[in-house]
Amino acid sequence: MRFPVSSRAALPGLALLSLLLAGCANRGLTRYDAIVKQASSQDYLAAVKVLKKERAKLYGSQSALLYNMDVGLLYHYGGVYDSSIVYLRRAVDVHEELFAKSVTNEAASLLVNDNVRPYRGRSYEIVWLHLFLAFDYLALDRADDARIEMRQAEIFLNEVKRKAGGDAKAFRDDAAFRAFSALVYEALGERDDAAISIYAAVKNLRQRKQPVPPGMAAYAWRLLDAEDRPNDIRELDLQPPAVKPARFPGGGELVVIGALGRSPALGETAFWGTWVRDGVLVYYYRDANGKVVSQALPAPGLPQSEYEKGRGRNTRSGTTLHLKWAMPSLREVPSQSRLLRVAADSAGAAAGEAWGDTRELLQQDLDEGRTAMLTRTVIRVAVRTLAAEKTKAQMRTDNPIVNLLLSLGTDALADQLEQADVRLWFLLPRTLNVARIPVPAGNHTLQVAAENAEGKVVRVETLQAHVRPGKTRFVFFNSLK
Amino acid sequence: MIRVSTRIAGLLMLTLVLAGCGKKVTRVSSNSTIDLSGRWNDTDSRLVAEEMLRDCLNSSWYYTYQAQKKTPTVIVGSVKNKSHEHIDAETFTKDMERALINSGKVEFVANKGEREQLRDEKADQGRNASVETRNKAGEESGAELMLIGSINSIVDQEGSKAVVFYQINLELVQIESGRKLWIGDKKIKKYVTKNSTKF
Repeated sequence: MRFPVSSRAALPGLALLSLLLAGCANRGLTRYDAIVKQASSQDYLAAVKVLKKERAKLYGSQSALLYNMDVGLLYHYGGVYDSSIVYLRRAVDVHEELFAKSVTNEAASLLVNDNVRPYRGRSYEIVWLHLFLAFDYLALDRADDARIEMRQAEIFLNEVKRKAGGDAKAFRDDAAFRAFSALVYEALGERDDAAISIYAAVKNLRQRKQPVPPGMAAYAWRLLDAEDRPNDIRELDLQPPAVKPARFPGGGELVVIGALGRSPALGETAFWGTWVRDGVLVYYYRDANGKVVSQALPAPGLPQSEYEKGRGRNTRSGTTLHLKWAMPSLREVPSQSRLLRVAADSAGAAAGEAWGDTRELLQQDLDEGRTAMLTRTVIRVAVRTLAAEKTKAQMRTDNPIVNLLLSLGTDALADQLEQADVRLWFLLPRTLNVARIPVPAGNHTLQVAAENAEGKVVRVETLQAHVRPGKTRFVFFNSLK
Repeated sequence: MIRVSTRIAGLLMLTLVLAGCGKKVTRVSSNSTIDLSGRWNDTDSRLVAEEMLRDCLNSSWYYTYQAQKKTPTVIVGSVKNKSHEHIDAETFTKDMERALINSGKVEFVANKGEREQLRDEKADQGRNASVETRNKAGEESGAELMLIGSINSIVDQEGSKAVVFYQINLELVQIESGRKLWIGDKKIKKYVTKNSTKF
C-alpha cells in the first residue's frame, strides 16, 4: 500500500493530534463534577483547596476570570470575607483586562471551539461579581467600600444598556442588584440614591413583566414617598403598604441576606449526523432525558450557479458529509432551599423574599446570545467539515479499507474538536433572599434557616450581630443544598 | 529561496515574541507623573493635597488668625470616598498632613488612631517609666480646626473610551462652633482609551 507523500506526512500528525484531543474533556463539565459535591455539603474551604490544587486541569489558561470568581465566592460562603475580596477583586481586574479581544483567539475559536476564547463572563455574572464584593464589604462593616462596588456595577450596566440599543430582549438591568444597591445607599444615609436605585429595580421588573416581590414593592413605596416622588410611585403602580414597619426608638435594622439553592448549570447538547448533498440531513441528539432522538430533514439543495459549474467534485450530488455540532443548554439543578426564615431574639421573626433568581438571568442570557452562538457554530462546522473533506481527499489511497479507516479517523478527530462552551459561574446561588428586622440597638442572636417547599428546615445556623443605634447591620447566610 | 525567507520571517517573529516576554523594572522619581490605567493614582493624591492646602492656607481665615497672633491647630478628619474607585484614603490624608506640616503655618495634631496609640504609650509609661521621664496624661493639644472632605467621581463611558471626572471637596471647620472657615474643591478630568483588539 502506498500513500501519497502529503498523506504519509499528515498521518502521524493526525494520529498525535487525535491522541492529544482524546484527553481533552470539556473542562466546564469536569469542573462542575469536581467541586459541586463539597459546595453542596457546605464544605467551602475544602472546595477552595480542590480548585487551587487542580487549577490547571479544571480551568486551563482561558478561564482566569472564572477561577477567581469561583474561589472568591467559595470564600464568601465560607465567611472568609477578606480572602473573598482578594479573589473577587482579581476577577474584576481580569475582566477589565479582557476588554481587548485577541484576534488570534477569535480566529482559533472559529476552527476549534469557543473554549479557546478567554471566558469574559455573562453580563449578569459581572453585576453579581460586584454585588458579592459589596456583600463582603458589608459583612466587614465597610459600607463605603460596598458603595464603590455598586457604582462600578452601575457603570458596567450603563455600558451593557448602551450596547443593547433597541433590542428589547437584551439584558439591560438587574432588579436584584438595584434593590440591594438601594439598601446599601440607605444604610449610608444617601436616600436620594437609594430612591433612584429602587425605582430602577421595580421598573426593570415591570418592563420584563415579572412580579415585584411584595417586600420590595413596599420598600420602593416608602423610599420614593420619603423623597417626594409621587410621579415615580404612579408610574410604577405602587400602593402604600398596609402595615408600617415597627421601629424601635434609638434602634437599628438587621438585614439578613440569604443565598439559597444552586444556580442552574450548563450542559452540552451534541448533534451529529450525515448530510447527503441534494438528499437528506439525518441528525441525532440526546434529549433532556438522555434519550437519543433522530431527525431527518430534506437537505438544502445546491444553488443553480453550482450546478452550472459542471461535474466538479464540489457539486457532486449524493456526496455524504459527516457533521457534528454542540450547543450549551440549560441544565436544571434541583434546589431544596427555597425560603429564608429569620428569628431575632428580641424582635420576633421574619420571612425572607427572593429578590434575584439566577435561573431567569441565565435563561435570558442564553436567549439573547442564541443567534450569535448559532452563527458562530454554523461557520465553525462549515469550516471544519470542508477542512475534513479536503484532508480525506488528500489522503485517499487505492485501498478502500484504508480509505474508510482514514475517513472515520478524520471524522472522529473533527468530532473531538467540537465542544460547547459551557463555562458558567454555577456556584452562584439559585436565589438571593432578603429578610429585614427592626431591632433595638445592641447585640442580637439570630436563628437563620433555609426551608424547603414543604416548610421543612434544610439548614439552620445561629448568628450573632451587633446593631448600632440608627444603623443597619448586614448578616449573610447560605444554604446551597 | 522561499524556504529561506520563510525561516527568516519565522526567526524575526520569534525574536519579536521573545522580546516582549522579559520583565523590566526602572526606578523613577516619586514626583514623576505616570498614568497607566487611568485610575486615581499617587500623582492625583499628591497634587490634590498640595494644591488644595496651598489654597486653604492662603485664604482669609488664616489672615484673621495671623492678625490675632495665633497659630491655628489643625487635625485632618475623614475624607469620604464617594467615587467609583477604591482609593487609599490614608495615602491622601497623609499627603494632606505633610502639606500642612511643611507649610509651617499651622500646628498639627495627631489623628484619632494615632492619639489612641499615644495614650496607650502614656498609660504604659505611667506604670513602667521613671517619674522624671514619664509623659503626663491629659496634656494633649486640642485641635481648633478640622479638615474634612469627600472624593466624588462621574464616569462617562462608551465602548473603549471613557471620561472620568473627579471632584475633591475639602472643608475646614471650627470644631467648637461648627463654623466652616474655608471650602475648596479641585477637579480632575481624565480621558481614558483602551485597545479593543490585540494580536
